Formats: sequence, C-alpha cells, structure tokens
Amino acid sequence: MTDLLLHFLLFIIAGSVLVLAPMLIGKLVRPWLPTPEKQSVYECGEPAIGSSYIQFDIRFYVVALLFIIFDVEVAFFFPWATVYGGATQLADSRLSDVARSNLSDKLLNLAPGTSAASDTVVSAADALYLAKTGVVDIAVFFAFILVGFAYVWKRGDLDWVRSLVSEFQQSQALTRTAVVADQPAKTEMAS
Amino acid sequence: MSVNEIIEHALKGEILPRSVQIFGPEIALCLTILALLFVRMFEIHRRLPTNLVALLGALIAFLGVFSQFMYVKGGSEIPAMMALFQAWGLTPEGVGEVGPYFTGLLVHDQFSVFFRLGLCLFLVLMIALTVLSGIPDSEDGQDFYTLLIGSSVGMMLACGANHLLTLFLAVEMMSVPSYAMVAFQKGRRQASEAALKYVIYGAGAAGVMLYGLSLVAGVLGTASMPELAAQVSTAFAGGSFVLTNPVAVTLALGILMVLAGLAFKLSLVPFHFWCPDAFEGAAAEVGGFLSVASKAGAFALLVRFCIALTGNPDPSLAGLNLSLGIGLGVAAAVTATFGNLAAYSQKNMKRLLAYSTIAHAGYMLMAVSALVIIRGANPSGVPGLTSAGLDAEARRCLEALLYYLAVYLFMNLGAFAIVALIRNQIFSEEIEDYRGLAGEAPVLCVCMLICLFSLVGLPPLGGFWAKLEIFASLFQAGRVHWFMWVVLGIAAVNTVFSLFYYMRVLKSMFLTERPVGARSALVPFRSAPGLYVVMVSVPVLLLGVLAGPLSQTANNVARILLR
Amino acid sequence: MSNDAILLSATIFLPAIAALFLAGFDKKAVEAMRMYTLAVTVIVFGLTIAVLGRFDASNGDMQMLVKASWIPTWNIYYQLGVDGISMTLVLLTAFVFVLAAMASWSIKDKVKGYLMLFLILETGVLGVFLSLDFFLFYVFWEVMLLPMYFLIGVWGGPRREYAAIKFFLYTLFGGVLMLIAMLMFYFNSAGSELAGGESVFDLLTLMKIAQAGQFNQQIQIIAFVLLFIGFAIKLPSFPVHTWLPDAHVEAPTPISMILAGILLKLGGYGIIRIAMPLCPYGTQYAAYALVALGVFSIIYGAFAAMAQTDFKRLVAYSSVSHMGYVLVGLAVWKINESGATVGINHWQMGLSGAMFQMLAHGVSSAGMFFMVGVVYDRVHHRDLNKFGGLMQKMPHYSALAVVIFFAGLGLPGLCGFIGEAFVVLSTWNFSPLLAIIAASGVILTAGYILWTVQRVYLGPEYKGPHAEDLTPINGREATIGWIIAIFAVVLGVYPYMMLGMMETSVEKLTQDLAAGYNASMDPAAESVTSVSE
Repeated sequence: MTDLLLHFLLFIIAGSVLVLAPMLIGKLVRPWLPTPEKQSVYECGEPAIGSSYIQFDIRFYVVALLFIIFDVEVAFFFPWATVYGGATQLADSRLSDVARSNLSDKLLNLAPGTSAASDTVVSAADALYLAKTGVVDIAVFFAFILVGFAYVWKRGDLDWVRSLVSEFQQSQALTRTAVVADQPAKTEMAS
Repeated sequence: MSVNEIIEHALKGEILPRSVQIFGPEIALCLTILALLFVRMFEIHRRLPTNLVALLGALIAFLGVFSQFMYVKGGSEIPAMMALFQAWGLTPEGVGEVGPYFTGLLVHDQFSVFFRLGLCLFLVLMIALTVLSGIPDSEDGQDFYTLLIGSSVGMMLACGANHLLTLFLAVEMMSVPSYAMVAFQKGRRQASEAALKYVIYGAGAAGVMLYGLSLVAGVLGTASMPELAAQVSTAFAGGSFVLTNPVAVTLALGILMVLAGLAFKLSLVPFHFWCPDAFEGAAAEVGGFLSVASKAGAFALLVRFCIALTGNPDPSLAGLNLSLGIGLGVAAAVTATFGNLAAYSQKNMKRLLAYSTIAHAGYMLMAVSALVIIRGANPSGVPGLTSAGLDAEARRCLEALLYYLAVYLFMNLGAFAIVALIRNQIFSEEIEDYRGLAGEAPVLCVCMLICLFSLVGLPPLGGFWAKLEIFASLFQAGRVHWFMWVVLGIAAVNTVFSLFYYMRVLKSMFLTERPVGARSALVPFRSAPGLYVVMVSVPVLLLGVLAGPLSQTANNVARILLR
Repeated sequence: MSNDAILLSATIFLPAIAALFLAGFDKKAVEAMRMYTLAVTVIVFGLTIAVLGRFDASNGDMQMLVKASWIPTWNIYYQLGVDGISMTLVLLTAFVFVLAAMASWSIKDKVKGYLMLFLILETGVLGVFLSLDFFLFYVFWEVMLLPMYFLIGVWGGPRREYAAIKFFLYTLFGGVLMLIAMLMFYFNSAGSELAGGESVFDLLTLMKIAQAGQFNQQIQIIAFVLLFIGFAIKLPSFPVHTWLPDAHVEAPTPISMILAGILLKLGGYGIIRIAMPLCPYGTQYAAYALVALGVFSIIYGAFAAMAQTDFKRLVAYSSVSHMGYVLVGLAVWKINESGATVGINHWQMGLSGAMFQMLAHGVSSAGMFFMVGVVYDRVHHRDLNKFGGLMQKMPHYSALAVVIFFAGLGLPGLCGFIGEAFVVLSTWNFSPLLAIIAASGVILTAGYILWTVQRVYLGPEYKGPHAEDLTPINGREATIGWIIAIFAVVLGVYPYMMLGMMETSVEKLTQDLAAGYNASMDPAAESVTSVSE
C-alpha cells in the first residue's frame, strides 16, 4: 500500500519538477531585452500576417476528420497483414519441414524451434483455409468502409467548393423546413 | 486457443455457424445500416423513405431476437413459432445451447436474450416515434438512423459481453453514436454545447475505464469474465482482501475505475453532470433513447461485471464483496436523492426528466448493490436464510432489476414521446407552457399521467411493482448487512420526494387553465400519435396489474445467470 | 366463481367499470351523466345490502371469503371477505356515496371528469374495506390517492393546489411506511409453519401467525409504529392532522362529505384490521400512548374548532376531535403485571364505541359538510362572523342543520352520543384521568357547536353578502338533509342495528389480540421465529 503510494508520489513529484525546473532556470538565466521583432510570432522567417487566433474554414476539419477515419482504419490492416502473409507462405505445399516449422513459429509468435518439437506446425491445407478466410474477412471489412466512403462522396462532403445555391434550391424544392436556432424543430408532422 | 484449434473449431467447425446464428439480429441491423446508406446514395429516399427502411430493419431484428427468446424459453416445439424459427435457422446446438460464442468474446444466455429483446423492442418503438414526430427530417434520416441503430448494436453487444475487451468495445460503440445524436439538431447552439460536454466527459470516462480494465486484467492475468472470480482467489492465495495488501489496492483501484466508466453511462452521481445538459440540448426522442436503452446496456454490463467478480465463495474475499456492495449502495442512495432533489427546481421538462433518469438509475443500482451484498454473504452468518434461501434472494434482486428496466422502458419512453409530440404542437418544452393542456389533448395528458405516476411508483401501475421488488430485495439484503436497511429507508423517503416534481407537471397540465392566446395542441385519440402514446402507456398499466408472467420470466433469467 | 366472488367483485368494480362507460357520454349531456352516476351509486348500495343479506352477524369470523391467485410468484392473492367490522363500514361507504352523488349537482364544470373520478374513488374505498390480502389492500389504498388529488385539485376552492398536494404527500408518506411494514411481515412470515414456509401477504394467515406470537416483539413494535403513522395520517390524529383542514376547506362539498364521512374511517379501519391484529404486542406496548394521543386530539381538535371563523374549517377540526374518540376506544386495552388482559368487556365496549363513533361521524360529518355546502352555494362565503339569522330565511334547511349539528355534538338520542359515551365509559377502566379529560372534550364540543348554531342560524337577521340569494333549499337538497337527519336519529335511538352486526367480530378480535399478546410474551413461542430477526 505505502509502497504503491510512494511510487505514485515520486512519479508525480519527479514529473512536475522535471517540467518546472528547466522553465524556471530559463526564466532566471535568460536575458530579457525585448524588441518588437523578437516579440512577433515566429513564422518560418516570414513576417506574420495578423493574429494566429483565427477561425479556420470548417472544410479543413471535415477533410481532416475523413482523413483520420480512413487513416486509422489502415491500422487494423497490420495484424491482419502479418497473419495473412504468414498463412500464404505456409500455404505453399512445397515447403520443407524445417521451413514450415520456422514459419509456424513466426505466425504463432512462439520461440524458435517450438513447433518442431511440438505439434503446432500448421499444415498447408489449414494455412490455405486461413488465408482464404482472411481475404473474405478483409474484403467485408473494407467493403463496409468503402460504402461509407461512397456515401460521403455522393453527399458532396469531399467537394471543396460546394454549390450553396444549388443546395438551397434543392432544399426549397423539398419544402424542407429549416431548423430554427435554439427552438425545437418545426417538423413536417406539425404542418 | 491455437491457430490449429481456431481453424478446426472456429472456422471449419461448429463455432462460426453457431455464432452467426446467434448474432443474426445484430447482422440484420448492420445490413439495415448499409441499406440506409445505399438508399440515400442512389437517391431513392424520396420513394422509399429512410425511416421506413430503418423501421423494417428494426422489426426484422426484433423478430429475430423474439424467435431466439421463444426458442430459449420454450424449446423448438412451439407450433406457432415454427415458421419464424425456420426463417432464422435456429437449431438446438446453435441458439438452443447456452454458452459463449465467437470464441468466448460474447456469451449467449437467457440474460442477454432478455436484454436484447428489450433493446430491439425499444428500437422499434423509438423509430416508430421518430416517424410520427418528424425528427429527423427526410434529408438527414439515414444519418440519424445509422447512428441510432449503430448505438443499439453496441448495446446488444454489451448484453452479451463475456470479455473485458468486449465490455470496453460495447461501451464505446454505444457511446460514440450517441454523442453525434445529441448534436443532431445542427442549428441549435444548445445541442452543440451539450454534445461537446457529453463527448468530453465520455472520452474522459472511457479513458479511465480502459485504464481500470487494464489494471484488472493485469492483476488477474485474464480478461475473460467467467475466469475473473477464480483468478481473484488465486491472486489472493493465502491473503485476504484488505487494503494493506498491494494486490488488493491495485485490484480495487482497477474495479473502481471500471465502475467509474460505467457510472458515467448510468449517470450516477458524481458522474451525472452531462446528463441534464445533454437531455436538454438533444431532441426529446434522443433523450428517451439515452435514458432507456443506454441505461439498459450499461446495467447489463454492470451486472455481468459484478457477477464475474463476486462469483467466488472464498470467505477471505468477503471484504471485496461487501465493500463493492456497500459502495454501490452508497452511490445508489446518493444518486437517487440527488436526482430527486435537483429535479424539484427544474422548469424545462427535458431537464426534469433528465434528473428523474438520474434518480431512477439510483433505484436500479440499489438492486445491483443488494445483489452483490447477498451473493457475498456467508450462508452461516445470516440468521433465517439458508444457502438456498440466499440464492433465491439473489435471484429476486436480479428479477427486480430486470422488471424495473422492462417497466422503465415503457414509462420513460412514454414520457419522452409525449414531450416530443407536445413540442411538435406548441413548440415548447417548458412546464410553464403545458398549462391546461389536458383540455386540448386529453389523450396525451392522461398517458403522461400514467407514465409519471408509474415513475413515482403508485399502484396499480408497473412502476409500483418494480419498486416494490427493489424494496423487497433491499429488505432482504438488510439481513446480511444492516446498511441496506438504511438504503431502503432512503429509497422510501425518495419516493415521497419524487412526487413533488412529477406532480408539478401534472398540476400544470390538469389543474390550471390554458392561457388565452397559447398555441393549441389538438391531438385526438384517433390519430397516429394518440394511438402511439396509448400503445406505450397500456403496458405500463398491464405490467402493474398482471405482474406475474414477467416477474416469473425475469426470475428464470436470473436463475440461469446466477447458476 | 362462486356467488360470493361475483357479488363482492361486482360491489368493488362496478363503479370503476361504470366510470369507463361514462367516457362514452356526450360532453353536453350533463344531467344524464349525473343521473347515471347516481344510479350507479344506488346500485352499489343495493349490492352492499345484498352482501348484508348473505352476512351472518352471529359469526365473528371472516365470511364470504374469495380467494384467487393473482401474482403466484409472490404468493399474492385476490382475496376478499367481510366481517362485522368491515360490513358496517362498507354499508356506510355505499350510503355516503349515494348522498355525495346527489350532492354533486352543485358541480357545474367539467362534469364528466368529475364523475369518472368520483366513481373510481368509490372502487378504491370499497376495495380497501373488502380486501383481505395485504398487497391488495395496499393497492386499493393508493388507488384512492389519484382521484382524490384531482377531485380536490381541479374542482376545489382557491387554494386547491396546495391542499391537494399536501393531502397527496401526507398520504403517500404514510403509504410508504406501510409498504415497509408490509415487507417486514411478508418476509418474516416465511419463518412460520402456519404460512407453510412461504412468504405470504394473506392477512388471515398473518393474523394467525401474530396470534401464535411468532412475530417477535421487536418486529411488532417497529411494524406497529410504521403502520400506525400511516393510518394516523388518514385518521387523522394530532401531529399529522394538518392536511385535513386544508383538504376539507378546499374540496368541493360532495368530496368533503366523502373525505370526512369515509376516508377518515380508513385510518381507523386500518388500525383495527391490520395494525392491531398483526402486532398485538406492539399495540399493547403503545396502548397508553395511543389513548393519550387520542385524548389530546379530542381536546386539541375541539379548541382548534372553537377558534375558527371559517365554517368549513370549524367542521374539519371537529372531525379531528371526533376521530380522537376512535383512537381512544381502540386502544383501551389494559393488562395486569402478568400480561393477562383486565376487563376485556370494557375493551370490547371501547372498540364497539370506536366503531360506532366512526359510523356516526360518517353520517353526521357528511351531513355537516353538506349543510355548509348548501349555504356556501348561495352566499359564496363561509365566514362565521358574517352569518346569522338563517333560521328566518331558510327555516326548513335550518331545522335539518340543527338536528345534524346536534348529532355531531353528541346529544343523547342522536347518533353521536352512543360512540362517545361508550368510549368515555370504557376509558374509565383504563385510566380515570384520561377518561375525565376525554369527557371534558364532550363539553368543549357542545361549546363550539352551540356557539356555531347560534352564530349561523339564530340571531336577528342575515347581514352578510348576497343576502338576496338565500333561497329556501330545493327538493334534492332537502332529500339529502332528511335522509341524513333520519339516519342520525335512527342510529341514536336504535344503535344495536349496527352494534349487533359487529359484536361477535369485536369479541373475537379482542380475544385474538389478548392471545397474541400472551404468545408474544412467551419465550417458547418466540424461539420458533428467532429466524425472523
């Protein structure tokens, strides 16, 4: 109990000190001779234009969010790729027994030589089955993401310049009632 | 499980077909999501409205779970259900067999089927409500329903969680879409603010919970929930659960963090701050969804987690069970009291219902705490209760929770639905603006009366029976530890408190005259909204008058889960 | 289903079913709806007479038992029955409801909703009196709350919202305490072989267990306190009576009649039917406190009544005073050092007196409220200081009113006398001091009632507002007044009509309680249920 508490305490203290100490030292040691140039924002050697506290166009966020979704999804491919790679290698029925047991070790994340000693060697047929399942799996997974992508594309969320006029006309044509800010939505049912 | 075994059993063998069979309704919901996106993509949503697609998908999933429910309950020999059983391809070795599936990540038992049935029913009713109330509009329908159904799938996963990883995944899967749903009315500043608050709290809670899960899994060396109890006693071999034991401290910290994450979902004090703001900012329909379905999913997780931890008869671990039970009891008592007191001063109906949701989470948590206390009891230490008697009492606690949730589904959905339908007419959710509505929309107001009185817990409505069951389980848990009697007293006093604020709404509706010039709200009985609210309110009454069948079913569910 | 089952169920549920049909009436057909409601209450009264016809007064046990499984998982039954104690109160209920239905012509607004709630209320009250399963009793008990809340809240006077919520909160609070006591009995009954090793809500079984002394003393005391608070709120007894003046003053006349005439009796009935038989030890333990509380209520109510200037408030406080006699009469149970009951005949007299007091008060207070309502309908105020001289303007009405007020006063020959006399006489055996104080309450009662009669009916001339509206009473009002006055006289002259009905039941009750007390004192019996705590 006390051990653990002490650990926590030490970590907290050490962490705080290591951050605060350099800042404090810098503050004490550095000379303080301000000029307008020095106080301006550093922008790759260029003079800064206006404040950095400006609102970015919302489109940046949209694109960034979409990017993140498709970027993160690639992370899910890695574990799959190692298994799939191992499985396709093992699926080759011409492999020697030694190569097979080595590859099995790799695929199963075992210490080298374990498969040779025990019966964890993966047969070619099994590996092929595993590889085929892997393809189907990733195809389904990827297809789902692609549907989402297509949906976003179709909705025009990827268009940099969206035609507000046409959108407005479209919504007018549908007699779609706008949502009034800070008011419960007036709906079609109500009318 | 080695690769060979996975290939043998999972891919080629019996696990995959069985798992897919059990998972059928969830798959149906996922396909519904796809269908929704396709409908919008190919621009056929004007001929085929997205709400109908969603309703159809939800109905199919409901039928799927319903057939599973009947199959599990009555076996394959029910003539009237044969066609449905065949359509879903149910087999004795698939749905008929209780146990883990998907290699132990999920578990299929009566408990999960019961919850999934409730969730699917709720989803159907919810979508029907959105069809009537017109939120979302036809252009954004697919987005809303995608979120709604996605969140529901997460909750259904939660009901069957058998692994700490699934537990976390389920919590996130039900939370993330709900953040977006809160913000769905894009034009409202309140909605954005509420959603931001909700997201930040949610992210924090999820982080804490994940940390807790890793501590628990790290200390116990497994993340599979059925093994937790056995691992607890291994971890404490020879020692006992006291706070001078570093393993105990780490484990307690882990459990506490997991419970904090769940407490956020359940909006227990002190993790409740998001709740009133989110409910006020979101549309009433979303509020109803969050307050019912989200709670049900989180309670399923909580029960599974608590049962996994306390399923250990080792007397040296009595400290763990007792402190967990009493901790939950304290949280429950504080939550119920806070919710009821804070609701008193609310002027906005949705905020009021949000605090009422908090209070009801407190009542329901009382049942869980009684369950933990009774399961942790030493049979020889409780006068008048044998080991079999204790088992019966534990079943009663769980029965109380299940019954409460079932009634809560209808009464709270009813209340939120009426708020939404009234909003469509008078464009207001302030209690002040409900004055004299009883004269104009008697159906809505009488149904509101039924729902609110049921929330108070007055007979002969379902809420009364549910509350009685909870009181009864607290009373019996009090024999194990006197603190539960204190909780019982607090619960009783809370019932009286709660009357105050529910009555304010009814007073406004029934006892005052409609101000001159106020918008009229004419909802006749013979209209779709009128029939809908009646349809939701009648079960509230029926569950109070004919409590037998459902309490029997809930008791059976509990018996199998606690076996 | 047996005939008894049909008869008792019909008595309870006919009003509620009739209320559903009322929904089909056209909103404009006010007169038809009123006549319909009156007809329903008359039919229900007829049904209770039919119940009386099948009732055997010489048998002190529960009769016409009906038992059907309701919620089998929890051993809850739909169980009904009557004995001498509930029979009289059922008759009173049906009778007062007929009168109140006749008085309901004064309600002009939202008649349909009013009448529906009125009928649902009748179902709730009859259900309480007839149910023999604790759970069923509790359900009916709470079912009454909702119609009462709206009847006061929608059709009441200026401060109706406050009065309605106050009434609701007090009763709900008592109800919650009752619920906890109910759970105590339910779970502790499992330890007794009389319940077959199962938890039961069945009152008859619970009574047997209590009679065998198998609830231990601690449970009996705690449960009695919880139940007593719940019932004392309804009765109402001194510290928890404050809802009553507000509720009475704000309620419309017919509802005041029901409130005073019947709902207050539920408190007394609950004590007799549930609190006492289930906790004989608790009752005896608290007996002196109960009698003292009752005596204090008598004096307090009388003084409070004397201080009122609002006519209706005065009658309301007189109810507090009169119901004090009920509490005194119930609790005059004296024991000696060895625990044997002393003077059981006196206690029986006290119980009979308490029961009779409830019946008499049911008639006379309903009448008094009606009489206040009649004059309020005309002049729209109730300020006692602005009345006077009504005897000259409305002689017919005033004569009836004076008779009814004298019945409330307890004049010999009228109904109020018997109960008070019985109670005071039996209290002498229990404690002469308290008997003397209780008796002085009679004088105070005479004081404020005579003073009221003087201020309202006598005097030279009515000088208050709306003097021109003081028209003589119409036929409907006169009918109600005459019925009440006749019953006040009949009950006063021939009290055995009611006392005979409950005699054997009261005897049995006292004997059971005495036996239960002795068994609770006996350590051998207690060891059987040491499980229960």
